Amino acid sequence: MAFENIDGVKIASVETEQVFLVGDTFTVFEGENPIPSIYNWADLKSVGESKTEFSFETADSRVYKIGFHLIPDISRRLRLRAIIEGNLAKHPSVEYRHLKRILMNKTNYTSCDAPSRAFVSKGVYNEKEISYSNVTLLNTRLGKIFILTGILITISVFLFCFFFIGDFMENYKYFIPISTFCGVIISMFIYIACAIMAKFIYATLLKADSALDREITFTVAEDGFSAIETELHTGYDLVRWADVAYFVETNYVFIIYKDQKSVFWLPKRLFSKERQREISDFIATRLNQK
Amino acid sequence: MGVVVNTTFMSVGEREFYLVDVKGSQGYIGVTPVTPSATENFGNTLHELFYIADEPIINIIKNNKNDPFADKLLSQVGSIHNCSMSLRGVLGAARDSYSTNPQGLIKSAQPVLELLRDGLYVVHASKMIPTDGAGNFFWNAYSMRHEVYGTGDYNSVIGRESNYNACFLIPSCASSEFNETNVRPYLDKIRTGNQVGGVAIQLCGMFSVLLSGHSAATASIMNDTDFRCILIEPVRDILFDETGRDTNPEKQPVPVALSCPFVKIPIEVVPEDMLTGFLLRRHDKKASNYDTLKAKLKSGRGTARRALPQEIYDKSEALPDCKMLESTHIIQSLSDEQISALLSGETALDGETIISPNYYNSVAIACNYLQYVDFEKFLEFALAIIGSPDLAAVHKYVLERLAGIMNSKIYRYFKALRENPMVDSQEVMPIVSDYIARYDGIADQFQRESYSFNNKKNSKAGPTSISKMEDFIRRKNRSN
Repeated sequence: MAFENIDGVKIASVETEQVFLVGDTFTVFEGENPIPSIYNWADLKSVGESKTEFSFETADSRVYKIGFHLIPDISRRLRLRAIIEGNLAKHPSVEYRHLKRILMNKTNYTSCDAPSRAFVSKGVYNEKEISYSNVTLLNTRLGKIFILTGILITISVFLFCFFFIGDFMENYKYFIPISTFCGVIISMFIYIACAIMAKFIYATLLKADSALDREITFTVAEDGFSAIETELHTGYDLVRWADVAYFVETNYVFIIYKDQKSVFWLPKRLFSKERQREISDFIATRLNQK
Repeated sequence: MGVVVNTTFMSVGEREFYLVDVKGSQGYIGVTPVTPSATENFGNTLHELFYIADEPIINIIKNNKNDPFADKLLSQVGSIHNCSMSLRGVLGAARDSYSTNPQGLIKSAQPVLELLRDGLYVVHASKMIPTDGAGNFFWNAYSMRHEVYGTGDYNSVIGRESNYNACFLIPSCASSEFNETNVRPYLDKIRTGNQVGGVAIQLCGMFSVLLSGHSAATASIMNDTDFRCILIEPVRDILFDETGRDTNPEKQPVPVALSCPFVKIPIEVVPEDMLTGFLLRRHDKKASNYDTLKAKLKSGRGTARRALPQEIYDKSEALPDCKMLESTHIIQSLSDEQISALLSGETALDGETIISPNYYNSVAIACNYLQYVDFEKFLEFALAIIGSPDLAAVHKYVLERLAGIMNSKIYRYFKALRENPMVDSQEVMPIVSDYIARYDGIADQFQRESYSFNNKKNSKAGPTSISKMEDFIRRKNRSN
């Protein structure tokens, strides 16, 4: 389990007359009853985080909800999330639902000794590097498809012109540049649409993940790596290298993948050029990646 | 803001204690989880460390972290002697204050409570047994790492819901610090009718770490007097009522009490602020000086084992062990009729279960209980079990229990058994033969040494007494 150094969070709801204590257990005081309902995390059926609340469903199908309006302080909300995820790491049978995030789910972290040597830096993600990197990844995945699409559109327009517009022998000088121009323009429109979508995805992530505009402490060490909100960072929680698969380097970020999904984004601007090369080599070594 | 210690006196059943909530402490004394470094892999092992200030004291390892009944491997890796004089002074003052005025328990304990990690504690006075739960004097019993019976978070014999005393001791001071000069004042105090005591904190299962009072404990055992301590027990667990979960796994267990070995405190009587603090506190929080402690632990200094006066070993051996005390939680008395029923292979008498529906458990617990309350009856019972071929299932346990006791009656019985085996040889005879060989070897040595002594002194010493020989044999058996 990780994030055990974070103290528990108490949340009181006047409207439902409930007091929640979230720590090593999930506890609910209801009304005037001095005896709370205390749930071990293994006794929960599911936990969820939406845009507006945390929800907890117990094995006997009771559902408790903690609205974000009860935790206006973002730091407390992030602490609560870290406690929940740290506990759920020990109980993978409990279903956990949350919106898409940049920062990796804390259930992936394990508690270990603070690394003796590590690349460490702090910073805040910015839109440009995330969007650009999203687009870069898009290009990497879909670049050939864009080119193929462009060629197909060019050929389609050319054929259309050939069959339906004028005499080919007289007009071929025009058909070729027109079809090429159409192919390029339409492909560009598709590309721009994808870029706008990538930006939209980032904005959606920002709204959904209150951690994304916080200062993050990034660590890359022999034992593993981490990207944790600075206010929650102790140095004792890392993701092991054995738990991830490979990494990709763009102009702006290093991205580490697990199960075909990106889990760790490390902004390059936080390190000098020389350090960036060292980090690239270091990660490649840890992941046995050439 | 400094440390805040809230105390409330409580009484649950017949047990009286102080419930103490410590907040805002620097955490000089406590247990920290130990996590692996890049080069380590703990697998399924749970690793913890009891520390005082920057000194790791007791290394605690549990091989199966998911088994709440598993015993732990303990080893002493440091000494409080390496801590600051001021901290030791606080503990010593608490010890002396309690010894002088046992009624002022909580006042004496207050300075010690301020040194503890944030948490909820039960504080009471307790009679301690200064051994390692297996008949060895506690002070030099933990220099080598080994599994200690009775250290499980829960005791499978006693059960989760019963109260028990964490009365066996683990030292916080290296045995190399033993000095007879330090023990003498306590001997004098005891002989003049004054009390000596100590301060201890429960660590795991039936075991507590003695923070202060090592020389006092030594003096108590040498004088055959009780050794009483301020005992501080961390409240770590919640006791749930799981009735009905067998048939309906979705049924929510109901919390009933906060649990420590000494007492199970019903939730409804716990003050709300203390309950809230307990539920919010993270029990696996690393110590603030964890990096320092881990570095010292890895450097592997350990503690040197020092030999102590023979008298201490002899008296320790005579004290009850873990299994004996466990049995007293199951049995309050055992009548002759019940013993006869057990010897007949029965687990019930007049329709009532004597000890347990399981015969093996019944005999094991009966042996332990009788050994605690009536040694002669225990011998009769045990030897009768061995002599009965129908009870072969329990022979091994009973033999192992007897094999640790050098006694002429056992020796004669085993010799007769070897000459006229009545029971299955495979399991019994090797243990019997080994016992006889050990006994003979040590008895010969005793005879030689007595003869040599008598010749040298040219004394008119009378025939060697059996009790002297048996004392000698017991000592030699232990040292071998």
